[in-house]
Amino acid sequence: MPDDSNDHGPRRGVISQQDREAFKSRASELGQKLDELAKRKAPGTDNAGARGAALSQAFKIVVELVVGVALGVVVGLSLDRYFQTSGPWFLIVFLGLGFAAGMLNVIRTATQMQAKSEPLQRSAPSVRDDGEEDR
Amino acid sequence: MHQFEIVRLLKLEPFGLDASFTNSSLFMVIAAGVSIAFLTFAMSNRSLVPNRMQSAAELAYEFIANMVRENVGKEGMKYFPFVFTLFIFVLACNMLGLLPGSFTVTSHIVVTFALALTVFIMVTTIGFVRHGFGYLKLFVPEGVPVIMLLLITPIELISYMIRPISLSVRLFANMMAGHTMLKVFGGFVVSLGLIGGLAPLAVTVAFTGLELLVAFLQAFIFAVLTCIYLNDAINMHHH
Repeated sequence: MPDDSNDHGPRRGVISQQDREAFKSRASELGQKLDELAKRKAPGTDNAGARGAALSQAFKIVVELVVGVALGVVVGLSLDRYFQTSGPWFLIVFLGLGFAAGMLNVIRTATQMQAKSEPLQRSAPSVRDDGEEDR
Repeated sequence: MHQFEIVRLLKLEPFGLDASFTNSSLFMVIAAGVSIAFLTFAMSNRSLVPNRMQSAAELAYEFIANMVRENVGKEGMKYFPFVFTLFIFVLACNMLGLLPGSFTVTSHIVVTFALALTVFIMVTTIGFVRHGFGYLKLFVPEGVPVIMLLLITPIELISYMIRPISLSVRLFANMMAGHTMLKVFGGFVVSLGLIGGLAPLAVTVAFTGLELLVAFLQAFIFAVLTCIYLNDAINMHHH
């Protein structure tokens, strides 16, 4: 503060005009700085948290694709062996079913993620709403 | 590889079953011990303004509580202790596995599959208890023609059955792949010598950071998916 503070003496706690001005200017300066920081952080696409979330979504989806097909192969082959079929008929059927099941899980996870991130996207001004209905 | 080998520490064979106490069991005990010690110590002298340990423990609690509330709803809070225990245990196992010379319990599919199967059996039981045979409607989507049901019901059934497999494979594969990568790059450091080894050494350091993230993320995903499955069983949403 510019003049000596009023921490002691009879006028203790009274804020002079000069001090008031100084506080005001400091407060507005701080406000500006905070606004700048908020602006810089606003998109929220580049910080570590968002990246981690994106990574976790990728981990979630990718395994579903593999596991469905793998299970189809295992079940199909073992059924073929058990029933001694002339060709790999069970393998063909269960490969298709396994793939479809894996896809179903992927689509479900993806729609859930989309539903969760939709309000965020709506509030962000950078995303233009082109009125297209997807889904 | 040496780090994935199971060693019998204490031979136990009751009734001819091999139930030896292995290094895997040891690290499971350590993981459970560390999490219990951490949580009890963190909350031992609790105050309104928390210290570091206490706020870490509270952060973990809030994190999982919000996750359960968000994904399952208020009713799901009944199962919060289960999800929290699961998360902390998997997290502790993953993190302990990153210490040099330790054993990564979650890099074995037997362990992760047992965990996933526990989740699967529990969720299915909850579903049947709450909805009775109506739970089977999960496999028969509404508004589908009867002929299509012949195709769709098996697909739905398989997609339900692969849940424990995908849940366990995700955790096990990520942990094992990460540790193997670290080992491979560590091998490069040795074989390339003092100067050439600097590049793989840098990669190893960076990769260790990524492994820390993965260790946390995999525990998180395991808990989130448990919540999503619980939600299916409790609220029976058709997606």
